[in-house]
Amino acid sequence: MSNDLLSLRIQAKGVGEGSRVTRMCIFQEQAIAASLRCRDHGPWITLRPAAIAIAIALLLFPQASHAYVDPGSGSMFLQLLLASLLGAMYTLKMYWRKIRSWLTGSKKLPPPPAPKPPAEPKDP
Amino acid sequence: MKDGIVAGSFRDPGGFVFRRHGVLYRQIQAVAKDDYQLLMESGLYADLCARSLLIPHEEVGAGAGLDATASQVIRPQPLRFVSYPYEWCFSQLQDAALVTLQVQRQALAHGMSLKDASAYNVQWHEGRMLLIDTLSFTRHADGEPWVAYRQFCQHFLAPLALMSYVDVRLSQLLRVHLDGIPLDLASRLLPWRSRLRFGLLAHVHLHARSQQHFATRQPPAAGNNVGASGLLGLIDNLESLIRSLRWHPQGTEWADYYSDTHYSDSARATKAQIVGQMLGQAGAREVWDLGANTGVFSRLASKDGVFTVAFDMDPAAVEQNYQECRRQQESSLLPLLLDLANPSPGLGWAHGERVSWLERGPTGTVMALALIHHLAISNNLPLPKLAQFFHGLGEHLILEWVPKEDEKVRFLLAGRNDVFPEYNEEELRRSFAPWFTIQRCEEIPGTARALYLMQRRTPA
Repeated sequence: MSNDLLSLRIQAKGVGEGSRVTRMCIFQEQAIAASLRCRDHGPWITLRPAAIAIAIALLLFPQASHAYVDPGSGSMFLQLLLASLLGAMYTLKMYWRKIRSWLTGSKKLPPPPAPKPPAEPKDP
Repeated sequence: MKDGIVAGSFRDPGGFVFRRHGVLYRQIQAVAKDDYQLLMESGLYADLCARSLLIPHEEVGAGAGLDATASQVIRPQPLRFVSYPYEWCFSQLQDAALVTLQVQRQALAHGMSLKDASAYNVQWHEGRMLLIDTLSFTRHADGEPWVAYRQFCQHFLAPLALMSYVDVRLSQLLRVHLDGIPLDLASRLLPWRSRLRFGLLAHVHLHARSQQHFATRQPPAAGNNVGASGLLGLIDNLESLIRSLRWHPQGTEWADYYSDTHYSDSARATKAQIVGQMLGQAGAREVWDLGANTGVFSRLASKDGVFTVAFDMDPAAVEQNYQECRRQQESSLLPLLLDLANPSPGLGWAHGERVSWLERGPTGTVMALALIHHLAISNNLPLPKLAQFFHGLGEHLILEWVPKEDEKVRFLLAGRNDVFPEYNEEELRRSFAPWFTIQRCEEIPGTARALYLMQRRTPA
């Protein structure tokens, strides 16, 4: 997040540089920027402080949406983030089911469905 | 419905739907040929049909296409009635969401993925919600995210969360927002406590903020890979979340109607007997029950296999009716939400994408039981206007006349001036005479009410 863009947003909101809202905006933008930097250094499954900060900042300060550039980008980004976390949880869940069925001696569960690699396209 | 390309079928370049001699076909263009072949040859189509998740179809060949660009044409099993998400109760939308997720899971298992997740692609068919868009599938490349994730959240998750957490009537936001409820709007409307549930926190609140953040920024280009477990985890989490959302109908005006003491048991039994006879006399093959409440009288028709649509404006009544249909596995009764004084209009591009309620008719037999006083008195609709309205709806009309002496009408008039001097049975007959022939009239013993069976006059 560039400082110029941040200043524009602050001006648009009609608040002073030193106000609480301004400080929160800066905190919010820094948290987002930090979270983007973090993404290059490791999987999202390790919940870093920056990721927690972005979650808190996103939740505490709602703003009106004026989307005009590719509204799907944010959805894709969030999906990548969530898929790392939920994928790990899903894997654990599947293993836990296997362990539980082994411990309880119940009937073996079928393996979880996994996506097949896409078939080769046919020659026309 | 007119022959030609269906007005709402233009977004997907892979094909379109058209009518010929009243039969619906789907034309598949060359660009979607490979995806269609993969759907059929991978076993996904057979799998989905076996699970009643996808509408079955027959291939009729490219020669049956509307033009020379067709690579294949299919004839899907016909739907009895097309309904829209803003006409569904909570459980209908919830079932449609679960069907979409189950389809996506099966698609992934066959190397494919849903390229859209529109609630309009799900319809009621023979007692179940299922996917009707055979061209929604595309080859899934390894590591590719689910492109329909945003649409799923807007079309299903956001309205269900709002109905569950805030007010069930917020489903009507879908009438305004045809591509689903914007997530920033849903996020604002949901109470703070919804953030305590991880699924809603992630898929609605953080999703809305992420959309907002990247609305003015380019997302990072590298590392756009979602592993198989990630995709399955996402679907599994969405499914758990959708299943966990609840809405219990209670305490509304109509949901308790039949537990009231309005009708004695004998009067209700006699009314049911007369209505049953009139349905037989009308030779009903399809029925629209207007003001159907929980469908007690709709079932007089549907129990004999007559396809019946039970419309009511009370979400609680429609919910109870639908849950009863599910419990009894009824395949001939479709409960839907509809305000007759403001029925679903034509919506979308050129008013053609979503067909108005009236355009989806006419039907065979219309039932309007204990309804006319709500239209004439609560909504100030003159009887001649009602006669003309019913004339456009169906061949036969079974109408219950509720006079001013009736307890329910006295209740409606209790708090207002009686400005309805023409609301009487003589005026009813006079108003309906230009439009209908009265075939039978029976008083309901023990009440001041009467049942009419009328047949539509041929328009002059």
